[in-house]
Amino acid sequence: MDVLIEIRNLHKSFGSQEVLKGVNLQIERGKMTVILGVSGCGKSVFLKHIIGLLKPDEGEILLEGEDLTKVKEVRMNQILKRFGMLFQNAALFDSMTVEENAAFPLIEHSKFSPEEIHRIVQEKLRLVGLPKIETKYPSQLSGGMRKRLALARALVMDPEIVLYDEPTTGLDPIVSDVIEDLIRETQQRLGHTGVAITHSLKTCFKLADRVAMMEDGKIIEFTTPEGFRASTDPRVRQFLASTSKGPIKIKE
Amino acid sequence: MFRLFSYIGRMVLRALEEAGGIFLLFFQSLYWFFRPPFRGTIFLQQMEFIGTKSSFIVGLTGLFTGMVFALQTSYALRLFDLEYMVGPSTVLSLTRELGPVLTALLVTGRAGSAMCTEIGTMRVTEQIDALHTMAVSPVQYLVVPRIFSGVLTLPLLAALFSLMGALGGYLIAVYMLGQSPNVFINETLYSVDADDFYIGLIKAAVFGLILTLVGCYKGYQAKGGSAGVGKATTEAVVLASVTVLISDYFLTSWMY
Repeated sequence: MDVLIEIRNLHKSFGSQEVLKGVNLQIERGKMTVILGVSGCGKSVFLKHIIGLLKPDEGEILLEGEDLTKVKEVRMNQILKRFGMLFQNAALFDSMTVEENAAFPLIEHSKFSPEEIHRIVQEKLRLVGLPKIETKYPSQLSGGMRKRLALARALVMDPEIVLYDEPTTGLDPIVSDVIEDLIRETQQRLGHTGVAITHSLKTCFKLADRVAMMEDGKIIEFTTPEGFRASTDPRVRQFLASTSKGPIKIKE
Repeated sequence: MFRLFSYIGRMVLRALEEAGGIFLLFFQSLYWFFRPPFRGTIFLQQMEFIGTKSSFIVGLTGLFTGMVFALQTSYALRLFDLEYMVGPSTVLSLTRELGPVLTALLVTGRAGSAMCTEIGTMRVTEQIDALHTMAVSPVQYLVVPRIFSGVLTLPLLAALFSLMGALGGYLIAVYMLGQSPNVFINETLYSVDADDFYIGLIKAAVFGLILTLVGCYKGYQAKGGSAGVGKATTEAVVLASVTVLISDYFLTSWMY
């Protein structure tokens, strides 16, 4: 197994609430790993640790042997250029146009001329299937289009690792399906390593090469999609059956 | 009794935490200020927003402040037959106090609140997190240009305020109180030193730092959706205004 990112014994508390209780996970190069779990299980907090938005209380995140939890900000910024992230609510810059949004990482980090940036941005916008709307602002776009644009922005630097935070939450089922296809297709075509978090079984099975289930701040199952379907863990069974009756209790 | 103490203790802790956060943001900004990349366009945009776009309201307020000040002091000075002192008293008050302080309060209301809302909205909609994931320091990208522009433009705005105020005082003294233009100008030039002017400008620069730093800090810390952003903006305006007024006392007693 070619491991790109290894997470060891990750702990994180907010005040008296312990959210991550020792997460261990290995993320394979070139594969799509989907972390599945109920709302509030800690998966979003976990994803934010991988990209350095949160610092753990304990534990390591090793990217090719380098511990991301220990690096200084300037070094982290170099490492972050290898990452792209798709945010749940797209997190587009609403003061910028579609083209400026997609071009932002290139303008900040590349030495390309404006013409080349324009060409790359056009190519990425075509890749995600956005028609000619470069001069519109994010507030003028539909939810699906915002997601596409956010994906174009995440992919514009040709990152090695792309993180997807709830990629289909808040979209209607048809647009969800389109976005899932798009994520899967771009990931396979460009060959990057993907980490997605979701609570949707459908999204999970459409995207995943590997499935990790998180429950109560720990990874309780880590396997292939087929292995996941066949799991005998009662918590996995409950999730697959989509029922409130079982060992997983929702804290209201 | 115990509850009163615990309440006071919590308030003190919160105030200390906030002061610490503001200082931390200040030092982070200093650190990022001297590191490339230097984003000239964003600096200019902020200078335009804080400076150019505030100049009309600052000039207008300055004019009327000078006018009303001249009018009010003339009543008091007439009692002692000192009406020729209207010019010096108006201009001295403007350059030493009213110019920097009122400009700072105006810009806090106009630009400090706006930058808090903008940064706060970016915070709650994850745009600041997005900047971070794109390897762009949010402090460098958002906070540094605003603080820099505030420090640079506030003295210019304060100078404009004082200048317009002096003009207002002149208009009242000459055209309403019937003073001779020469008396106004000569008495003013005789009494007002360069010191009076540039210490006011230094104060204005410090106020520019305070109002932008507080605005950015409050926006940066905002949480809890649009209501949270609204709350942060209110707190930013109150905290910046109060800090400007308190620091004004200490700066004045220290520098003069």
